[in-house]
Amino acid sequence: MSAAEDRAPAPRPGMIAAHLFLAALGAAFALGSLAYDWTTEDGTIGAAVMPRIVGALLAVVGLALLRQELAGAAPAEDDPPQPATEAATGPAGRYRMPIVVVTMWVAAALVPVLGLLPALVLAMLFLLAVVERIAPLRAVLISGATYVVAHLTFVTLLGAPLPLGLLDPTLWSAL
Amino acid sequence: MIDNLVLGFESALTPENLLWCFVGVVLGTVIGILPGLGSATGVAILIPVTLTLSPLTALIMLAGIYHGAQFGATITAILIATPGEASSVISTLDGYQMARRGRAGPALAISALGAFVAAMVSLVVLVAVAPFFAEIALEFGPPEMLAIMVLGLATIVVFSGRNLLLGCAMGLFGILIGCIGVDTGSGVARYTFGEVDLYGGVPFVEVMIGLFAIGELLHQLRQGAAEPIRARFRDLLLTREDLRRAAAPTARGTVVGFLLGCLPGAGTTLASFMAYGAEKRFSKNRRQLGKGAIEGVVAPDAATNAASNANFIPTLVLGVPGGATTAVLLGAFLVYGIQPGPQLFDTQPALVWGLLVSFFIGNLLLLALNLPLAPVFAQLLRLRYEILYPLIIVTSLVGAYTVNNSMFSVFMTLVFGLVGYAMKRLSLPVAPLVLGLVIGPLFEKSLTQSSALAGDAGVASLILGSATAIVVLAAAVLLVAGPVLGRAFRARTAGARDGGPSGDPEAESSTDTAANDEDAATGRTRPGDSNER
Repeated sequence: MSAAEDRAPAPRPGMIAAHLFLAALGAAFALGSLAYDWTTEDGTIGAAVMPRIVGALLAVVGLALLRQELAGAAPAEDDPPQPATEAATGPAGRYRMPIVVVTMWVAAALVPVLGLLPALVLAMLFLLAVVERIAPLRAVLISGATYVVAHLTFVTLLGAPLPLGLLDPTLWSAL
Repeated sequence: MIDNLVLGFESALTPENLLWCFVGVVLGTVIGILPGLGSATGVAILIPVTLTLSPLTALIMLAGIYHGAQFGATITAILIATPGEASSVISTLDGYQMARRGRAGPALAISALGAFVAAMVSLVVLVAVAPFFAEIALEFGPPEMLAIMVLGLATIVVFSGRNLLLGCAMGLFGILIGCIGVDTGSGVARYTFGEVDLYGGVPFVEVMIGLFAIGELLHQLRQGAAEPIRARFRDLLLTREDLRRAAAPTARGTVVGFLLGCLPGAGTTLASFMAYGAEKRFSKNRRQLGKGAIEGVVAPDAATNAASNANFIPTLVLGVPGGATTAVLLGAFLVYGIQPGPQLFDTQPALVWGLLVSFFIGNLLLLALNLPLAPVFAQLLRLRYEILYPLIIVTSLVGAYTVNNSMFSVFMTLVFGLVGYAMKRLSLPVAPLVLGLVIGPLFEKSLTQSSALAGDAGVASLILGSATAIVVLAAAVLLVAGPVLGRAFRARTAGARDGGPSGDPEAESSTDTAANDEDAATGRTRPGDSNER
């Protein structure tokens, strides 16, 4: 067996952060449970029991995982992370995921103004036309079709009361 | 029995009932496909539509939606890793992997076929033994339910993969998330920070959409989406090998699903998870589970359908809902002025047997619809991911909103989307988290009830007084201890074969070598090998 094979795997920063997070989360729940009663007035278990026990257990398990990681003794993963493809790591691909995340949050924040469907379909148009560089006419057609199908399905067929934002007639009738 | 079935067929086989059964299963499939709109929501939304129909026709349509939604939910779980229902969450594990490997058609077809077989078998048993099972379920008190929940939590061990500690940590994480909200025992609001939307707890469906749909989507964007399917039609069909491999998991899933479905409140989600756990334990191909094994698709779907039928046992005979959707259906019964309970079979035989017979018809219709259409659905994956992912965002977020008609649901979905992405990025197992989230609150509820029931004597004495609870707990212990004992036995056997003493480090070494060989064969890498950190 070569020296390279003998060497323990190096600790992974991402896993260290994850285990620290889990341990901290467990500790936070356990400490937070001090605000609740261990038993109720009639002697049955109180609101503190589950979070305190489970939180303490998670804190311990998180620290054990951290120790395992730092010692390079973590068992092999069933599904190890795969390297990203060239398309995803290229100049355009690198920022794609963060842009999509920001777009989703911005769209959600715009719902009170634009309404749910328009805000999301506008976000879709942005992603198609700007991020994915699909021809503008095609992007508009796809987004428009999505709007129509979503409206027919959720609003017309299922009667879901989707928020209309500033287009809400009740808002205007109140003025 | 024969007379009852004849009466049922006479009631169900009218043109009007057949038409509404068809409408129900088609609508149910569509509702199941839409993320966030599960069978419970679909049935609840459409109850007002059925008010003009006769009670039997209305119930047939609503039951059709229930069954159709199970099929529909699996379709999106397999094709875009977006479970339409909590019970189809588990289908994303292997179904989606199969789809990404160009086997979406077989995954959908075997899911439909396994679910159909499970539905038919479970319906026959349901019709035959409904009163008997109802009696057993009636005897399940808090200590028995507590033992069942312990068994459910023990399956986290089964889901943990190679790193038991990591699986346990994710399970505990799930249980803690489940602690948020008003405590059912004391009525105290826990960890809500004054946020009224959190009083009802962290919304389960939204968490699922976030973890699975948005998390997977972000992961794909970072990873670079796999090439879309470019398969010929015949590649999408089931092979004889697929059918052979699916037979035993279907049988196991049906049994697990039916038995759990009989329990009041157990629902279908627990059944699908337990069936997957059973495959992890008993399948010959258990090492392939999670990587696109057909057993991981067919067993949970069979269990889901068997459980959804078995859910009608407590619902019809006891008037106690078997799960969330049957709870909504129970509400529908009351809307039509029908009181489910032990007397129902005597007072409304045409309705009960007509409804039961309609389940057979509904499942036949679903098979006829879904099996030939499986390759058509599979073509969805040929859509370029650049177009598909914005579509998934829109449907997921609108679906999340419609669960509670609240923007809070949308933000929850986005938050758990990021959590799901981080978990995917770090290869943290999602299944134990989901299981913890499902079973944690049920466990706490049973514990509280047992605690109230036991009083000063303590919960332990209550459990020790129940033979059923002891048997179930013993099964849970076996589930956890089984693998450890098995490994020790194998090491001892290997040690004896190699001439070494039992428990010899050599034996451990040989086990590790075997694992290494298997990793090499499957192309798996170990930490330290991967460039990705």
